[in-house]
Amino acid sequence: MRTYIRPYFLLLKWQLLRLRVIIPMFAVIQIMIGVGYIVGLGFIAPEVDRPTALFFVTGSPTLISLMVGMVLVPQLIAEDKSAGSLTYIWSLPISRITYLFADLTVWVFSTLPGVALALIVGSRYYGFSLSVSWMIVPAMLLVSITASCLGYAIAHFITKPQIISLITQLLVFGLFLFSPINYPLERLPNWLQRVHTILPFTYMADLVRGSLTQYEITFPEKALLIVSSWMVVSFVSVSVVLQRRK
Amino acid sequence: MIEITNLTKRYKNGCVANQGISLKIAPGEIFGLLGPNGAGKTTLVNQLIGLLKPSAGTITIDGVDVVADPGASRRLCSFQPQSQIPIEGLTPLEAIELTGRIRGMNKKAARLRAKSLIERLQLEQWAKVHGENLSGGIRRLTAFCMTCVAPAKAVVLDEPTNDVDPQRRRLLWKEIKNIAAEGSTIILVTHNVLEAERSTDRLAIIHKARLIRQGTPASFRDSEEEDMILELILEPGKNPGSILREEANAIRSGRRIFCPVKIGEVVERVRWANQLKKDQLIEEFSINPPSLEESYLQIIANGGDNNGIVANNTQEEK
Repeated sequence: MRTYIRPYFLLLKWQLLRLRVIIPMFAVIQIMIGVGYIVGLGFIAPEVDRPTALFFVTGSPTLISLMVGMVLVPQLIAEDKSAGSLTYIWSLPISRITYLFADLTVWVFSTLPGVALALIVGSRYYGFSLSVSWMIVPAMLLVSITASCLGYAIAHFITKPQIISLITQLLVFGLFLFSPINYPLERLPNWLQRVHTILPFTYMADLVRGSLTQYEITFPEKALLIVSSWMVVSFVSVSVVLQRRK
Repeated sequence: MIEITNLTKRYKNGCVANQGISLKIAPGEIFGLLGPNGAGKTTLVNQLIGLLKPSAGTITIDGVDVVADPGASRRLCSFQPQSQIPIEGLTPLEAIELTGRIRGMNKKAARLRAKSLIERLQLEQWAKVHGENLSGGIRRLTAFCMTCVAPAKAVVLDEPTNDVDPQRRRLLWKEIKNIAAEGSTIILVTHNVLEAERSTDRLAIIHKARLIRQGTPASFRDSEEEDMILELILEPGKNPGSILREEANAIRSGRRIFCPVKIGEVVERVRWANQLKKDQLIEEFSINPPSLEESYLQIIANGGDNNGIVANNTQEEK
């Protein structure tokens, strides 16, 4: 076990030190996402009622995790790929799975400030209080890890960095407007609703929302099963791709 | 001891990057890999360090089959890539020490070794500066220190002297020789023929996926003892067509043209070169015994057969 734990903490240190450069910028972006997300809604829908606002605010942790995991993570990996940095990392005597764990840890924790800020600002702005249960910890971990694993899959299954960049641009659009994260699934046309019964995004939002409010998740086991399946499949496939020699 | 036998790498798109390469490199040896861009040097190195899987052939390091066990390859080899190592956010001291610890050293030993390397390469004033604020040369020297912080059976250096100033280049070579003296095998991938000539014990030329020649730097120059090389440097913008038509064996490298000259023809050729200078076709000329660079260019131009010298790696021809 020591073979994995020691390199894990050393790689974690490496990644955290590397992030030192972008952390100030990252903090600003997190504040912009967290606060901008809430305040921006006021511009889109000035007459927003309380249930809508509650739905919107409690969707923010999922949306922020997805933005970091599926947009920022693949873009940074694409950058590392273009610069050839990964070649060096892969030549070190460390398991690539250990590297994946260390990297996931960094990304999971880096979403927390934005998430916390969005919830605090949102609940104050729209004047409601949240009833946060302990379930928020496993729910956020599951959502955040799944989002980063999906981001890793995008970055490692698509070989060309430019294509990764284009796809993540498209994802921003799809996640914000066409995923029922901050509005109910029923508002979408039937065919898109069916698509979202397979995709993890609605279930992610449900799990987080259920641990922040009295919101009743229709089938919590199903939500848990589907999100976990996406996490396992993306993690396993990324692990296989990372360990494969071309 | 590194032993590479009949190594072939064929990519999925059908491109053959290495074809039947065989090499033996001893502990403590500084071995240069020369070859034009796209010749297959990086592919060869990437197979050695376990990043690529050979299509055929074997690689052993101290008897360990690293094709079967790429993890062993990463433990036994230390690699400095040609691209810069990602050290944004880290200072050279942190990066070198952390790499040492990742390579299994304890904190104290890694710190001591990092400090000693920084001192020997005269990097003290940048030791605590973040990577993103370092010049290309200092970053490359940091990468070199990261590569050799912990002892390794094989140290693979891909263009380690790029961007490095002449003074630190000397210090770097001194350090490379120290590491070799301690028993590591050094594999140096380079385009800098002059450095390869001065600093390596043996060299191999890879061209069009094949190993076309290997031997000591001196052995590359012994093609025809009577030959001298007339080097012409073209006036900027001048067309060398007439010279190249007249000198069938001439080799061009940018503005420089190398013409082999027999000892008995030296006076006549110098007169000819003088006339070219008067005609303002060339800027200057010199005549010298052949250096490795001319031999190298000649070997590449002949695709492995340098005036009767046939590649001594016969397996590739099969």
